Amino acid sequence: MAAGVLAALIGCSAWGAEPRPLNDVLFDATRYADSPARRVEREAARAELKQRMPDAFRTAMTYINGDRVMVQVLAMEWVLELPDEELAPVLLEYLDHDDPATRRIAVYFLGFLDTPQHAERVMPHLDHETTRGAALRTLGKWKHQPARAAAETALREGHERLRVVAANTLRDLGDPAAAEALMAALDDRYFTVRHAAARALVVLGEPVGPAVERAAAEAASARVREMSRRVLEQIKGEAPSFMLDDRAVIVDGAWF
Amino acid sequence: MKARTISLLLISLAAGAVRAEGTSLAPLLPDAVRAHAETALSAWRMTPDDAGFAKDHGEPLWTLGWVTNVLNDPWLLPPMGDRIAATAQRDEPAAWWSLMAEHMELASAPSNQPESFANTPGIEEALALFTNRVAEADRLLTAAYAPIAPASRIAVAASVLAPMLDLENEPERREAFRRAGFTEEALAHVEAESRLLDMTEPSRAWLAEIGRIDYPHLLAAAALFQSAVDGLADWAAAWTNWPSEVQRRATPWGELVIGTTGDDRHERASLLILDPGGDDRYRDEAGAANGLVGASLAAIVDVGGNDTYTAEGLLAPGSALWGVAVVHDAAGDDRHDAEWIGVASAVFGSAWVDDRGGDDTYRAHVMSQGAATAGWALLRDQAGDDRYEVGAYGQGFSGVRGWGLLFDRGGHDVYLAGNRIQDFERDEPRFFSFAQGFSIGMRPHAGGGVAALVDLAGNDTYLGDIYAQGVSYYYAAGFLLDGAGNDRYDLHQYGQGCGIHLSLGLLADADGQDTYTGAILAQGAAHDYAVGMLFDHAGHDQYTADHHAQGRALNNAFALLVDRAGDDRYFGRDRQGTQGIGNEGGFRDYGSLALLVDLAGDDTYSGGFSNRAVTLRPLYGVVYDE
Repeated sequence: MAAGVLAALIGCSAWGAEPRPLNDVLFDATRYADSPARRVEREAARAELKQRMPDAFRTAMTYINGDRVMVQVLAMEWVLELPDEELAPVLLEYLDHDDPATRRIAVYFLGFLDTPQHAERVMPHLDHETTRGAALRTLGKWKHQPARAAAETALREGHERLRVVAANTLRDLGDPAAAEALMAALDDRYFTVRHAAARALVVLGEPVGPAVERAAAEAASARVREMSRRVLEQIKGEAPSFMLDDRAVIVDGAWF
Repeated sequence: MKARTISLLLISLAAGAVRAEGTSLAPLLPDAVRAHAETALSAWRMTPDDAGFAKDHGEPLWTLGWVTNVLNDPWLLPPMGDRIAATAQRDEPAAWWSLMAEHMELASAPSNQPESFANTPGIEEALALFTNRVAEADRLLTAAYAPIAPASRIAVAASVLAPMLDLENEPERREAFRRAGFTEEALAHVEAESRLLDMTEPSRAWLAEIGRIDYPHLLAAAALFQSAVDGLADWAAAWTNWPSEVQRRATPWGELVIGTTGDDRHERASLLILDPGGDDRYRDEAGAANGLVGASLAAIVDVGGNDTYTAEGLLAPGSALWGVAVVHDAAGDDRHDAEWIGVASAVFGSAWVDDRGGDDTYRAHVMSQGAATAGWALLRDQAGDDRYEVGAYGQGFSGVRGWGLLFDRGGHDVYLAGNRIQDFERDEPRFFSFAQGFSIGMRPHAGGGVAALVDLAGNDTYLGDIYAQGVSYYYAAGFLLDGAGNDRYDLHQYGQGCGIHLSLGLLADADGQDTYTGAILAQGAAHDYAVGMLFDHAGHDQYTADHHAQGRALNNAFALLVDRAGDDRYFGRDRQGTQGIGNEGGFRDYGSLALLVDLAGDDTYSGGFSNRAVTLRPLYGVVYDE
């Protein structure tokens, strides 16, 4: 409340005078608060920036790939909080930015907005190494089915973090046709990918049941057979049971 | 199955053998114990390889290669701790230099045989031999710094020290900087840069500039000078014909000062102060190496007495700024009291401080007691019940390209870090510590270095607040290793074997009934592509925390807590945030890996976990109790 009043006062100061440059306000909004006074200044600056949308968001995007982590943190807060129609036009502007890392963040932020009508603007970013992961995530959240092929390729050929993103994308797309690709990932070197793939299969649910059942019985890899059995348990709603040699293992919480 | 049962039986027997060693710190993770961790992983159908999931997602322009390697293979972290413990056990200068060179990935450590003064018949000959070595050290040091222009030396040092001492908010401190050779222009420039929304350009320029220092030459100069001082100290211990009045001799590198057996006062910048005994007072520039004012080599050899080392200026005796400092204090209950930067600190230089005995006290505002950025600093305290106090950045601290180590061989010691710089950002009543085995990089541009606090014996107390006790931030490594004794570890946030943001933290305690108290991200915890480990080998221990603790991996990290023996108690307020548990990684939407492994005793878990049971916890953790 007090911060709001202060922000309103600061906003009023623009009346009859030039408003402060947005760079300066953004600086105050993201600087480390090394005194109680600075903390109050910071809150006031944040309130002012919200009043000056979408230009404030545009300014933040200008510095989004700089070294000031708090600019990214603040922009993320806005992405989660402010109306899509205020943010989306700005993010679309940055899809064509010269810096691939800035494009990546714009693509990533879009995935938190409910704006699937922009999917075709995002699709080309699947072709660039820097933006591919963000594009997969965003297109998955938007359930844009044409992204499935790229996701399956990334799950098969990408680096580890991209494989995780790809498994999550296939989960979000929700197409059971991705079952084979996901079951292959149950034998990934890293649990991060294996478990993301297993979770995706569980979310895909009954339609992938027969394929998973076959893998549980016939897969050449013992790990795939084991993981497939776990997936089936989850799909059927059975309580997971683990053994370590002859000892029962207690399961405390979610498997995936 | 039978084979597995037999192998576990053998493992248990081997673990017993490990426990029988009692106070041995190393190996931190013997094969027999690691086998239990692997068994715990197998409950998830995972292998040790799984801990190597990708964490190297930063793109720093400079980092230590081995730190990145350990992020990629966390099982390599305990052997790094073993190496430090073994060096501490050996405790020879050559071994320390070798460890430092290895950690900092310098091509090779110089051979560091103690300079022999045995055949020098008198003080004149001893001093002649010493100055002969000084000439060579100075030549090496000049070569090390030659690529950096004098004005640039001031500028890059201002970038390190002005923020540490918060000159922007505390303008009265500027005078100390000016007296230490800093220009107003350089200080103003630092403040102007700090107003930039994006500091990428100046940060990269700073990195490039400090990368031009010839570190192998700096190391050679530092080791040679330390060896010469050590040799002279050995010679002085046997010499009896000391002058009755303080003598001074000019050299091209500063004064040689010969003290008396009485209580002397030394207050001037000198190349060497050689004092045979008495309760002496050393002040400010005495024993401080400051290349900005033409005093790049400084040493003190004090043979005995209860001495006082104080500083009201920026630098204290035993600190180095663009230079090399060595202090050798052979005996007595000494007091090191610095207004600002304290003993055993180095910025673009090297500081080596030996205190061979007595109950000593150390106090400084910042940067002290084994603290370095772009250089290295070692404080060796061989005996006594000592008290260490630093506001922040000390007791084993390093920044970019730094190696800071505090080694205390024995005694019941107290370490306090964190009573000067308040953390208004997060938690106003709290203070930053940045200490007790803490290293930090310059995110996102550069990794940090290596920092360690090693204490081999005694009932010790470690008090920190935010960032302390075996912790690091961004491509760096922080260690706290404690040998025998019943110890107390206390902090609020980030520590006790904790890695934060693509970094490595480790705490190991060999023996005793220990208590670990922390609130957040503590006790074998890691956050954001990091690795955190806590090893406690013996004793009935108590772990208390609020959340994100006790084998807690957060946001795609790897955490490990191994307690080998004793009836232990694990208390965590937030059941879903403590004791062998991962998380979903926030918007990243994938898991971490967390292990709490307790290998013996009747243990109590606030989470309700059972003894002699394996419990799988979410995303993805294990509580493994034997």
